[in-house]
Amino acid sequence: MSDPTRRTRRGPIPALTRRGFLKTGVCTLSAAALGPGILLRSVAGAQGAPPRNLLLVELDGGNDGLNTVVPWAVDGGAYYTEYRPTLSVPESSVLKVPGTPVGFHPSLAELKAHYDAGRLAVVQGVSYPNPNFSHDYAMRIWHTGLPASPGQEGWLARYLNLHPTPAFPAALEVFDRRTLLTGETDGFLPAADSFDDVAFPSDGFHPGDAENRKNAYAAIAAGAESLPDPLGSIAATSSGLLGLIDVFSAIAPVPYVGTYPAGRLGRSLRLVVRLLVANVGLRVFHLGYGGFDTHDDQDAGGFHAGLLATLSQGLNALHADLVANGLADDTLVVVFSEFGRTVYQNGSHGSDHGSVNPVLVFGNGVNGGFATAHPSLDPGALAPDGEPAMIADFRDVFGTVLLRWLEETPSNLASIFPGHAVNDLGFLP
Amino acid sequence: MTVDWNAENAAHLIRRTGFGARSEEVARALDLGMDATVVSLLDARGPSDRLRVIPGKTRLEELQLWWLRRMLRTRAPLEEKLTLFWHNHFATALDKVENARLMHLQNRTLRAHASSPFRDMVRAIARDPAMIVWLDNQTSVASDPNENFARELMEVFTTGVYDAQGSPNYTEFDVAEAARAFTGWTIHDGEFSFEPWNHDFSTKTFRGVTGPLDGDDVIENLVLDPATPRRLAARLFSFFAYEVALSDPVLDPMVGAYEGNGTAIRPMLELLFRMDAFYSAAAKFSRVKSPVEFLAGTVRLLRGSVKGGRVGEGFAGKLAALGQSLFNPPSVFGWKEGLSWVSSNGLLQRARVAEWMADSRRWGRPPFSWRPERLLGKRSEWPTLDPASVVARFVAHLDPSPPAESTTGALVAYLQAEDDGTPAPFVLEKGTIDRKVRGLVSLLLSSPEYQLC
Repeated sequence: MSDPTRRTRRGPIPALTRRGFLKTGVCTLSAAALGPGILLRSVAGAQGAPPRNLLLVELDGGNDGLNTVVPWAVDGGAYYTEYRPTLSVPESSVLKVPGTPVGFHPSLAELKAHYDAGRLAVVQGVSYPNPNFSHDYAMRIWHTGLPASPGQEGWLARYLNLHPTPAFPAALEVFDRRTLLTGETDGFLPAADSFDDVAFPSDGFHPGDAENRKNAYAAIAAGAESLPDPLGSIAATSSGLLGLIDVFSAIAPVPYVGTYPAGRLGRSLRLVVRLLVANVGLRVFHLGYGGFDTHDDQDAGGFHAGLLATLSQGLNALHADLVANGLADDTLVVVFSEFGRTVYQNGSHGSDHGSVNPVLVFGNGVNGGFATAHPSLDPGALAPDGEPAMIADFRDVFGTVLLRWLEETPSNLASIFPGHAVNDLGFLP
Repeated sequence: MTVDWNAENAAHLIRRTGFGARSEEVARALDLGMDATVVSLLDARGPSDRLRVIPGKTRLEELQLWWLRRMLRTRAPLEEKLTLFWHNHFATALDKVENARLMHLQNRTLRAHASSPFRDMVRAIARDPAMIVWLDNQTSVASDPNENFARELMEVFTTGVYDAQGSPNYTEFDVAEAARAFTGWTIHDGEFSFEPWNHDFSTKTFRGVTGPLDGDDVIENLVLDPATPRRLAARLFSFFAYEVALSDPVLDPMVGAYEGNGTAIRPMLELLFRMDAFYSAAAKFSRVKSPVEFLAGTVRLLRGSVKGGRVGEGFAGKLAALGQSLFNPPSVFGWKEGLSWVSSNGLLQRARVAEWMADSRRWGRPPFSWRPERLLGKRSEWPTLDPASVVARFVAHLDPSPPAESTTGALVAYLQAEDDGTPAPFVLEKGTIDRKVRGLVSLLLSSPEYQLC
């Protein structure tokens, strides 16, 4: 990184082909219109099969998994309330799952109903060897799939890079932590919170000049794409941005049937639904949902409970709209967080950075149920760091998704998660 | 040292140590010479602080506007630039602290220690009320230490997790021991307070040193560890010059200056701003302007004016849209600099802010306005200015990375385009200034070249 003029791209830069887009229309935009990089790649699927969509929802800050999937009767119920005298979810309000020693937090009523209908799989005790307790570092491990030495390249970027079918960008980033979708190359990375975000600005005093300004912006971007980085990559992103603006401006509103919670998560989920319905080629979405770093007063005013309720209501609304639009069978949602929280509550009525955590896999296509058992909370069974022992490696969770949902080959999996032999956890057929 | 003190190098120094290089500032630096310019930049102090913070009333927007105004008006731009660097290094957010007075106090502490010995800086920040709240140290007591501050002190503020060779600088055990050393460091009535009854006075073993260590002992150990100056040098060099790895030998003299001067920051900066590498081709126009640099620099380069009262809303909203809400960084890791500022979303927001600024006219008391006429020179010369000269004049004022021929070509063509896109001769006059020159500025501000400094 010592020479910023160094070119970092592989291969030639595709030219901006907005003209091609205008001729062919939104859904058939097929040229490599949006600049270089990983996101030119489409998601693989079996020939002729409907394309499958993947939505990764990241609970930013470290979700308290022990108060999400509640181990109220694990080890005979001996430890959970002992570790968490005031923080534990009272047994009477746990949404219990018969035949298991766990249940869902009462704020997850909608997700519990989906669980009962066989649409929710839960992988418990997910982590990786030698867990890291720093937000930034742990998140990079989850994003890159390389616990020993995370670097900057996302495992999802590696997957997308293996499927270089020219198409509209396959992935949209709806989170400001971008490593998951960032390749080694600094390519065009679409990012947006809402449709309002994606329109070219104009001077209200001279609307007649707006098209001239947009054309000049396009010409400047196209002309500078061949310059050395960082200019070249900024120009390529500018070109991609214009393509995205054109596409977004042509996407019709969706009459939502789901009731979305107010705030960022609800807004992001509506954006995803509208883009999926428009079928522009975006198939992979990474959403961030923050506020989970609950070091103190975790449940004052139902704070953590409120976060979970928003998640549950949001995913429920998403599912309703996917069903209404015939997309529910082809869309999978994975909910994860960079780490769980300490089994013990701390002195501030909160919990500190822990390790193992449940991952939720949601959609019509899952084998519903618990894919793995909850780790023991017996003090003698805890890992040396004082946290419950790992049951499943997060690379097995994402590896199973790639293998079963996106039909990735085992040999490609080996290069997506180098140094790790993926174990199919069985939560997808 | 072999730096040729010419206009190009002087402009580079002014650009990196301030917010936009104006021609008269570059001329002054050229006159003074490199050494005197560096010394005067480091010696300069801004005006005393006149912000009245009313607890419970002062909002984020007011704090942001207060700081932005300092950046615009100060005669000590490096002081503000360094404070911005430290704000990102000791990133603390009002969102959690929920007390504007404490955030303002922290900003003053960062400014006061901006080029002090690092030991003094860290000792001050460990006692900084906003930091104590931000990293939960007020809840850290002997019977139940909270590790948050101790961990970030090592991971983010001093040594970092790994050294230049990739070996860990500390263990989880060290984090736990350091947390014990800071127990009882809390706040009382908004001031730092040490509560001996909550402090763990017993023996600790921190990074191989055993004794009844307290917080200052831990700080002393960390600021004297070779990993700290190397990491600081890399961060300073990456912020002011270009991105480097920890192991880059270009950092060695800066590390030496810190170690040979009792953890001093100023000698590191004196070296940095005189280095060949600082003035190399790899450095010039390699930095993606952060949103704050983009906003403050543009106001200064357009020689615009910001109005009182309502200004806060305008600029605070822009800072948030561009992704750098001052006093409210996203996490203890601060903002990620570089190309991540200019994602597709970032560039879209920049295009919007560019349009907002370029088209800000004086009607209706807008938060910001500027007069194109002021940058166009003598009115008597206007009839002789062809489109290429008008473009060249604004390129000179706005100081982007040298524009590509295709860029200037597209701007000239833009000036000569009618509303329906057909070419027409361009004549500089009141009407075309309002329609086309403002458009030209909007395009320049959103061009790839302008995103760099």
